[in-house]
Amino acid sequence: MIWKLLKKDALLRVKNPTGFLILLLMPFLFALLIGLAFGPSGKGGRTYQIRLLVEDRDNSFASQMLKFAFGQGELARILLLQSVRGDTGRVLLEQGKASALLVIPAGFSDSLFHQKKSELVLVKNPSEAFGPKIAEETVRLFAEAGDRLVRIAAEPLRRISERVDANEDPPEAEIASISIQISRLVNRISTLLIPPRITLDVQTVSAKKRQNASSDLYTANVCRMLVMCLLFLIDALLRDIYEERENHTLMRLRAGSVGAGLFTFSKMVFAFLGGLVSIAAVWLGMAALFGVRMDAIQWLMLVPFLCVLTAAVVGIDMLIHAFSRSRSQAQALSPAVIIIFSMLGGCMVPVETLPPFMQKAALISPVYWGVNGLQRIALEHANPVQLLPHVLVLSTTACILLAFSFFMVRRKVAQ
Amino acid sequence: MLSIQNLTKSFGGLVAVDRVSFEIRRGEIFGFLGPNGAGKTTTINMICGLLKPDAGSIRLDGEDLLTAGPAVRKKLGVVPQEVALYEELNAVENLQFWGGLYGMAGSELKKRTQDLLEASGLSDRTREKVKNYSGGMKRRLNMAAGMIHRPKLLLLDEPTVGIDPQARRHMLDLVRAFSDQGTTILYTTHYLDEAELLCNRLAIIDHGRVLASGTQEEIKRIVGENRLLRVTGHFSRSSAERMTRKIRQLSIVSISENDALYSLPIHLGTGKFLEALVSGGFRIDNLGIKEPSLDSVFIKLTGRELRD
Repeated sequence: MIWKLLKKDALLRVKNPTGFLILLLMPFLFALLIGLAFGPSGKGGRTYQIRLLVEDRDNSFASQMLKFAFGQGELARILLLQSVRGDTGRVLLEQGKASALLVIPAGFSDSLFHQKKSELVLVKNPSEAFGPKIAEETVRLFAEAGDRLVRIAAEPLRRISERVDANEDPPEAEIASISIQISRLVNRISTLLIPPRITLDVQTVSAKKRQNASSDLYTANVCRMLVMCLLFLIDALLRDIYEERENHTLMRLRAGSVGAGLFTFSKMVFAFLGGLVSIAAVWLGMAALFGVRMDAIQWLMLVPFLCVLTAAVVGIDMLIHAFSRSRSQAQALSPAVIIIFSMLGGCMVPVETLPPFMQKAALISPVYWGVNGLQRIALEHANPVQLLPHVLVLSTTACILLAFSFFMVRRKVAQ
Repeated sequence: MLSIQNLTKSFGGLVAVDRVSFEIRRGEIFGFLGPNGAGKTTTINMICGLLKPDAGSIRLDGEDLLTAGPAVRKKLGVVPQEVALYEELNAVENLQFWGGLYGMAGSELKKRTQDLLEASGLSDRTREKVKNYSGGMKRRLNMAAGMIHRPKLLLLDEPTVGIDPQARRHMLDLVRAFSDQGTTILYTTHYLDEAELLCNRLAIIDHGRVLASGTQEEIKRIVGENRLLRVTGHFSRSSAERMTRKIRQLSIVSISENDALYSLPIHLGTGKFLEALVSGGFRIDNLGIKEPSLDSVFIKLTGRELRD
């Protein structure tokens, strides 16, 4: 009997597939949009840039050196320096056209080379979240590094500074000589003053690896969106319960030999199978598109994982319908609950970026375990032991939610 | 075939069905006649198991339907008042689904589907989605779906509500055709002409209670060889009552302010009655005369017309 009900439900979907197909494409669409908005582009990437305004009231060799340092190497790709004068910097900052304004005070050079205290001022743009922080850290780092350098080689630097400030080009021989002196000085005392505790291993990524990084970003986003879309998709499938009631087919089914329990069970099974087929199809699509590589054991692991994840999602959606008295109530309740679950579970933004209390709350959400599990399979090649907590949480949640909501929905169907 | 005894169902304080009893014999079309809200659909819902009665019994071929298993329930076919079909599927898919639920399969189901589609006059549009059908076509398919598993007893709950006269005639022909094939039918309606046209026996129900039951002749005998005369206008209750003293065989069916319903033997004619009205000082707005019919029976039993 149940197969006939499932076959009928499947036939109805096949006859009117538009809505279902749109829901299936949603994870890719969202992942693409997120990838385009925040991810690297196909050519290797547009980097997030911080516009730093510099008001140089000293206009000395030392201040020039500081500005010059900001424009070197990788930093030049991140920091976009713009020199300003007078109040222009503050005006631009108030207009939100820069992340921060660095004010180099008059007498900076003099204070620096005569061992006096000098103070740089950094004004941050409060409307930006990350840019001003990065600017602050960068300036702080350079201030400390500059301070160390001046303490080590104050005399040679002062000599060059004086020549430059007097508009005299220091002879190359002198620069070379001073450079050698600095180098010797640094070599002599560096082991005492700044012993190398941290070493930096600089590597250049290959084009292939850069492409993988891009694919990983898309894959992570698809995993997130996949769970959210699964919530919406199964919700849409479960709304057939209202459809059957409104079309009076529920009455005819029940007047025949289909009890309320069998009817409810068939809807749950159909939602589960529909969800499972959909999530599997999206996964395969994602694997093909973004080159997700998985071992045989991971493919084997994926099947039970997707099953428990889908069952948990059916449980959540069934619960919504257990508490909705009508289609209109369900239409209002479903998106709210799904979005809250999705947000808490890390579908919209990574859980790590949420406030600490929300991060703790995420742990009780099956959506979090679903997203995290999918990402671990796809990106970290997790083994079965690593996924065991996810499977346990999801299967326990599924059992509790499905059992509770089954009885609630069955009672509603019987009324 | 179907025996209903003292069936009772209440919803809160409202008694929807009050000790209803009637019997349906094999092969007949039994009419269940009553206005909207009389308790017809509630009775049908209890017969087909959608509602649990508070009291009473329902027996089909001697077996208690309230405790019977699916095998006994399969003897019932239900055609709900509303069209209960999957509109995205076509006629064949609908009939095959409903037939499949009753255990039918293969060539038997195919043959039965074809026969029913032909009988319903839908055989030329079998592959079209039901949502594109007209109201009448949907109704016919709705009835065919109730007949797909060859039920012994077909419950038809106001199958002609909301359709045009031509489609209605088609539906009544279909009911007769099913009856001719040997199906026993319980036909609920609030259309008197349908009941008169189709039903061998019937029960009249109002406010949850069966007021009369039997063959049409037996029921019409309730009003006897009398015609009903309804007078509305400006007159007092006492003057309306005085009329019965002027004409000895005149009886009052119901009386209220400015409205009186009398029963008068046909052989007396209406001349004497009209004279009495004039001499009684009645200011008449309307005078209605009803010859003996189911309608006059209903009026006699309830004091109002069926459509009220």
